[in-house]
Amino acid sequence: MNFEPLLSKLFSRGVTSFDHDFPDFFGYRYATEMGPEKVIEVIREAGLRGRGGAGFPTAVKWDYCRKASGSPKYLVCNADESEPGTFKDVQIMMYDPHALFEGIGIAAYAIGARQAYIYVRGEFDLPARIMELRIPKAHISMQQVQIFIHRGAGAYICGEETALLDSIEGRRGEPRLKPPYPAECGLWGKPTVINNVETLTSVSKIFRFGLDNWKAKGTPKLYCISGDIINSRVFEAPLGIKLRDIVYNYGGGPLPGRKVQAVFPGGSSTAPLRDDELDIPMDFKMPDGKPGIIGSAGTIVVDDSRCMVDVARNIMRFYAHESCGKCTPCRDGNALVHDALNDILEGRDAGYAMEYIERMIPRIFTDCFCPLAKGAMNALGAIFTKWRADFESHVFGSGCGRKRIG
Amino acid sequence: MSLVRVKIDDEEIEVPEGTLVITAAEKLGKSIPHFCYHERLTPVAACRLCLVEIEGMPGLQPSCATKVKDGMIVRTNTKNVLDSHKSVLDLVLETHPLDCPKCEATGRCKLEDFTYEFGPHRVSYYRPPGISAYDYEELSWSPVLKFDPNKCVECSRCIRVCDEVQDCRALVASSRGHNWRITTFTGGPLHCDFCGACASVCPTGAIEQQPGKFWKKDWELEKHFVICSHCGHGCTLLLRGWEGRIARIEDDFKVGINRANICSRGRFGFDIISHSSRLSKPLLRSDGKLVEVTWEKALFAAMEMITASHSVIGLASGMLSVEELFLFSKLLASRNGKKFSESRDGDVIEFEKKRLGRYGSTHGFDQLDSFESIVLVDIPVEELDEVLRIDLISAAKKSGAKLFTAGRASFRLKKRIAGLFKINSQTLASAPAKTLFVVDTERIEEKELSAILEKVSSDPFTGILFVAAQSNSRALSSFGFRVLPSDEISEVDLMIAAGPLQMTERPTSVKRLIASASFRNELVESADLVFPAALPFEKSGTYVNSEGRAQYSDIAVPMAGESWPDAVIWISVMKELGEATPSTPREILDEVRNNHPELFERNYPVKSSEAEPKLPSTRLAPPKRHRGLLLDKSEWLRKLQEHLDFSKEFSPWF
Repeated sequence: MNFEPLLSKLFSRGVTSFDHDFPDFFGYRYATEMGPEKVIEVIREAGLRGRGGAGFPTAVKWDYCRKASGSPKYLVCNADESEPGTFKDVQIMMYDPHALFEGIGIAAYAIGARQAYIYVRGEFDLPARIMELRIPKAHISMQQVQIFIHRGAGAYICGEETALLDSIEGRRGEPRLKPPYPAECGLWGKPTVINNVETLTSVSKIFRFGLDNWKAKGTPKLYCISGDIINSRVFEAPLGIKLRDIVYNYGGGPLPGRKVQAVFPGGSSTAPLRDDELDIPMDFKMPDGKPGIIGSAGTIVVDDSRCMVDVARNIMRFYAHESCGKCTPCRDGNALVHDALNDILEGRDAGYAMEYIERMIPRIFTDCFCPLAKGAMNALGAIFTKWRADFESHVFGSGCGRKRIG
Repeated sequence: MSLVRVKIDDEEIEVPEGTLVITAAEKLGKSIPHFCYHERLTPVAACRLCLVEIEGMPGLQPSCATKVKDGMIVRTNTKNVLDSHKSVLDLVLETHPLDCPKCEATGRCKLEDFTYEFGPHRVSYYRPPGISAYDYEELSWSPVLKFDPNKCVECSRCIRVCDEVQDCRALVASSRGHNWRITTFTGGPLHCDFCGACASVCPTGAIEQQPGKFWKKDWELEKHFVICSHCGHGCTLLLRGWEGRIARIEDDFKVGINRANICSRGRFGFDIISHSSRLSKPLLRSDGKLVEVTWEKALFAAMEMITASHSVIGLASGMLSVEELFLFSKLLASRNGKKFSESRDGDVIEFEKKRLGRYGSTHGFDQLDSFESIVLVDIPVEELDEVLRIDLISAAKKSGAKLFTAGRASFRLKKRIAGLFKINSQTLASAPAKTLFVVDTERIEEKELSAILEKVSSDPFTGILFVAAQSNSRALSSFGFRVLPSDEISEVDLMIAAGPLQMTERPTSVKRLIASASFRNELVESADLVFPAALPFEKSGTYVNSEGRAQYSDIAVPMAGESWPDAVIWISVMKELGEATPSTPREILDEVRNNHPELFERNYPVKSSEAEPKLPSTRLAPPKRHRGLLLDKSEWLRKLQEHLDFSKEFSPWF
């Protein structure tokens, strides 16, 4: 495969010592000579969409914030990468932090912000230290923008953009009511753009290596693959490659003697697919116009040695634990659905638990406040319908007898 | 403001632009269940109970956070919406103990009402055996507030009212997910001044007032609107009680000028009426000792003392009502007595009258947000008028009014203070237009006051607000009561002291002292004749507050012991002296209105949107409850005595 990586070019280099990286930031210099409108135009032409999961066109977001009244404006880099199965941003922060800083510089220039925050997940201690050491060097070349690192306390919900803003402001990280959207009323009530680490790094690469190069490589994207697979890794490939390609080529397929049972295409909050459904592109849109499956591109493979009810319970344990507690359906509903799944596995009143889960999934999905519970119900609902036989074997029989995580 | 038409369940209504869907539905008489939404707080749409279907919007939308648009079509009774109500209530009920029979909030509990109307009439009870949701212990947050975490529906109203309205942040949320709990900032007992706003907004019985617990169910309690007498703000309290006992004090957003804000004194200070040192009978000094006598004997003794005295002075409290001050000044006038008071309010207003030719504050509490800067002139706001502090904060938050302080700074406002302001003629000349000076009448110096008044007279956009220290001290100037000179009382034969006073000992130059008082204190001990006086909730009367608004307060509870209202005392004394006097409340009020019309008109522009507070009673007390003029020794007194004993035993203050 002769695909020269753009985003992950420096990943193999490892963490450079502090004395030996000399950022030149000529992508930033090139962009600042263009003028902000032109920069946004280039990004629009590149077709760059948010890499964090929602896939909102970056240029539209920037343009909206640029035109919003209110000053000062802020740029926030969302480095709170906590979606299970996703570990691409941490690599960028560790091995190529200057590309991220350059992207921040370009984005701040385009929207007219002078201050930028990098919200780093609490668990990312080493990446935060690496970046903290290198920011002064970046400031020498990019004097127009001041970069701050804000370290979270390890909450999944703070990856949601408005909860992230609350967290930076020093409050409890709870999603805010929208509208107003952050582009008009964000951090400290001022217009704010929130971009993922990979998005901003892509911006840097577009200006560094040229738009033609970016397009020729098919708008590169970082993918993560993990789970019951031979090669768990981050790799770079064009946007829109087939999911089967990811699992069987890049991931090396399942372990010997096992079969792929389920694949979560874009992190644990996307609906899992069976082995025969993998021939679909990883993109923001499906060929038939439906919303795509890419999510945050953290593919998780589950092989046939695992009990899917247990997988569902494990997922629900995560979401029940990470719910911020603001809205009733997510706070109480997730915990109760987790209890019900526990009951099915332990054979306590499993029929009623099934009934309860079936009733609660659409209700929590419709009533909840933010995408957290929606994502959880997305995954759980798909498992519940596609692997119903597994559930029924626990309800009517003595269980599937396969291994459980715990 | 332009009107928009919305259609809610095939009924059309016209509402102002920017109205919330839930408010529009309320106007149509439709009930949309809600926990986190409250008219005083910013919507957060967290409880997800008020979801409705709106045409053109995906899924369900929170009606408490969606503003109406022209031509909007809302549906509140589709299957999806009703299922959503049911499901959310089911989730809440799963962690909520169903101990309604022994819950204090039964009858006013929102969860109870909404479950009855919408909810699952069979709770699904999804809870694995062996795990109980109700194992949290009830916490005593303070002597007056308790918190039961089991009954909490996690609506965060209390947190928001503490933060947004009270600017206090004594309550916070801790932990996350299913373990989300409301807790105090320190985790232990509350560190605040116990205003009780959190208990007032709590939709269930999670936060409750401790006094009056388990006395009566909510629907058995009567409602009386009364005017608070603790400071010059003139808040309307909703007194809940039965058969003359007070169970608790609530607030009503729609009634009164205080917009449901009540300070801790107003909310929990009601048990002074059953204090153990209340006087119940007239006291007369004989052989150097005060002995209890009958009213006939006491009035006769008063007549003898007054007729025997050549020089009389009167000392009136600023807590007496307008009618009482009027009658007291009439009594003094008939004996050529000088009129004094402990409050400087009368002098300050008289000074203003001479300078500007007008009377009292130029602006009201509801006009604070029309100013760009507000200067607090040497006034500890939270000590003097706690509700004014809340109004100042809301003005600073809503309209961005900047607060400045001149002289003594207010401790609890210090986070909001933008800077210092030194008052002299130069700074006042360069002061921006639209400045309001908030002045403490007890502490302002003449030099500063005249400088401020000069600025007010020259600049029509500048205002002055005199904060009265007592509930009716604004009326003192109309009746000619001046501050008592500290050491210049010449030899007088008789001093008559009316109402609650701060004076602790009888001046040496006074030969004889007649006092009307409610409590036994040092001044009472040194008096020659003491009349037991009724307290504000026990009598009717008109009170003029700091902004100059006259408000009528009705009788809510019977009088303690044999005490009489001051009005009745001074009428009786005058009758004993053979003076002509008005005797019915209407006659008194009419005479005051004719002689002192300035007390009943607010001489500043009243906002048209802000209607006068509507008190449910008529201007005069209905005859059924008007027991003031008759001495009543019926069942009421016996019950009151029981109540006194009861509160002695249970009230945390004793």
